[in-house]
Amino acid sequence: MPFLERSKITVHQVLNSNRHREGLTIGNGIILPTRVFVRLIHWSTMRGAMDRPQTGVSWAPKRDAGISHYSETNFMKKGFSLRSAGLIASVVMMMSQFPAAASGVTVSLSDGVGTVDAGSGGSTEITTSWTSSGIYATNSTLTITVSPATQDTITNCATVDCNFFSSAIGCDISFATSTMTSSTATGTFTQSVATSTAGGICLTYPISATSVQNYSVAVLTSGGSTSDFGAALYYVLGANQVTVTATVPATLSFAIRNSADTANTNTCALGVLSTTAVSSCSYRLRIATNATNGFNSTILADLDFNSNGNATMTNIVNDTAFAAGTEAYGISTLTAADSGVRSATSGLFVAGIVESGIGAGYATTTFNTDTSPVPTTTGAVLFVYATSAVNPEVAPSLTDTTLVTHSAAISAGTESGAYTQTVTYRVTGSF
Amino acid sequence: MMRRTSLVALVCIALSLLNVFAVRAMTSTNFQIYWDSVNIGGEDTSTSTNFRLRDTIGEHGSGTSTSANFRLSAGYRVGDVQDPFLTFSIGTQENATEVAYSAFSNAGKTVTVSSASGYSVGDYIGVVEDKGLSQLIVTGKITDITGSVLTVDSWSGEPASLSASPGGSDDFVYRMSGYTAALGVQSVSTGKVSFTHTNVTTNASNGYSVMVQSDGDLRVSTSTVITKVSDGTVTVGTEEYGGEVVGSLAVGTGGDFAFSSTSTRTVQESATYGNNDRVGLMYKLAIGTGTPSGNYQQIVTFTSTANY
Repeated sequence: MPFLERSKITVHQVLNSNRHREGLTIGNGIILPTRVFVRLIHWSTMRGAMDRPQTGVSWAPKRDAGISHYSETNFMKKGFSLRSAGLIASVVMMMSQFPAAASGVTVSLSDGVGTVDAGSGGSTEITTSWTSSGIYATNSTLTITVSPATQDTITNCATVDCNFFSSAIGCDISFATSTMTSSTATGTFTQSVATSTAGGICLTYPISATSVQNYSVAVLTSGGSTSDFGAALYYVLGANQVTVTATVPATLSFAIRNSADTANTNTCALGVLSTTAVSSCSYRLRIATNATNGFNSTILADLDFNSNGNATMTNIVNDTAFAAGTEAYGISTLTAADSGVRSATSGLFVAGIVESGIGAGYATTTFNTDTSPVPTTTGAVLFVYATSAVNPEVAPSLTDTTLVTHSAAISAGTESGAYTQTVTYRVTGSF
Repeated sequence: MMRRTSLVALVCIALSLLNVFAVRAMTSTNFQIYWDSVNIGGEDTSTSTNFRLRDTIGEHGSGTSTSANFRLSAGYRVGDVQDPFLTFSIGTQENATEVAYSAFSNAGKTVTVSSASGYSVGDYIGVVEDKGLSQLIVTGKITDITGSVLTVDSWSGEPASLSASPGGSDDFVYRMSGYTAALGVQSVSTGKVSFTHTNVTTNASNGYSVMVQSDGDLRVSTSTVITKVSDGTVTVGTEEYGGEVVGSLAVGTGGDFAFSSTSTRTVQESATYGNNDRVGLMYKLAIGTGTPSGNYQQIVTFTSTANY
């Protein structure tokens, strides 16, 4: 330590020492007759308060470094009072510049809805909160700085919020209107604030209602033994938000496939019928769509199963079994795909296609329970459907396609002939 | 006595004038000097676009001395407290400004575009090489435009990885001033990417963090969502959506991550002051054949906190 001991210098000593003056710049180039300003920090306490000189701040002369020297005689004789007043003023000003214990603090902001990123512009009441790292002496200064500046002068909140103390003690920060600008608000602590006190101050910021902007709100306390500082951001009109967008175009495909799902087909041949057996033929419906709400499919035949208009085979009664020797025609089994449909919970294509039942389609035909007649005269009937996207596995797939089996049985009295029926399916995406 | 008074007054005036000159000399948009002690002038507070400076003149014996138990900090400004500041902004790729580029220089901080029209000094730009799920990106702020050469203040992102002469037809420059990451119309055969850059400046001595959080899935509705990436890579043809962050200050690099709506994810971090610190955050999307159609949307919120 070249010229300092452990900070035992008093103000009186300072005055005496000040005979050897140097320039001390304060503010805008004002030269005060002071000396080098020094700070001594005891590492074990890290205090720098003027009221604790033994552990904090000291002040010492550096001899022979001044602009001029005064003899003791001249000092006493010429303008002593004036000099004394000047020196006292200097010391007072110097004391105001004494370093405080400076600490960064975590600052948080909260607007009326308790968030920091819900700003929608316009005048907004924002509470700036932090916890004191030390003691804020009475008359300490609090400066709130907002950057960039708001479009008008910062004002107090409608309900003045001074919550470093409980309401029983009263408001502890005073903001004079004259200290408020569009970028700063300077207030004074009207009471001493203890160390580790959580509190905050509510101010109204006239924030532009049209400018997408992030505002910094900074806190700086000064004038006491503790100088806390910190800053936080207030996000207005989504200045901190990115909206990610994407469009997935619609797709829809439908094919009638053979029962092995290896090729498209448009026929289902029951062959030569006999009274001793039930004849059957099958095909598959391969449906794919990325429609968010899936698809509907309908079934409708042009006519009953007939021999070129000459004879008509009896339709199977809904939900009754085929029996050899008893004339009947219809859909003997319907096996909807049990996977390939997007699960609403997992997003995976593990759900199945749904067979329509009572209430969902043809009132007298329940495709979810075998057997079913093929509707011909009541308009299109809901056949199978899904409520989310369908993405069947690459063909062939016996699980992601819907199997339809037609059957026919004849009796001894069934008229001969070549029977046909055209069944039409329509698939509509539910986008 | 009168002569002495006059002399002092003259010195004061002279130093005040020097002070004015010093203030002007200190103004800068690119540099940050937290404290200085010069002997030709001083100003309590000088400001520029991004910085605030306090300086002092006429000091003797200032500086720091230490012993076993004490530390001495001497000087007028030694006990002063920095006015805290924190600025944070983001900008997102504007697809409409896409322009091809033919040359990139990391050291020279330049990129040569096919047309510089539509770009201005002060714009943030993003450079994308090999547009797609494996693209490389850098970002910078234009400081000069000469012909078709854009010069930036610095490159952030992956500047060391970009080719000096990109080879394909999928290398582009974008203006980065938007707030929408438009991934456009999707196809199963191509992944789509957009990205956002951050920009942080603060005098917080312990640095800062930048976090992101989403408002939910990338979705048409709560029941129609894009599957979040879970294997670390968004792959073409497979429905996946996620983000990737790049840059020297980026956190969690090296893979694609899923955005969370329930917790924040730190994407940028520094343990010291920030001076236009930037990272790039990419949004990556790939769809499958069964990805439900519709217009998807998600809001990603960035927050930044300084550590004083």
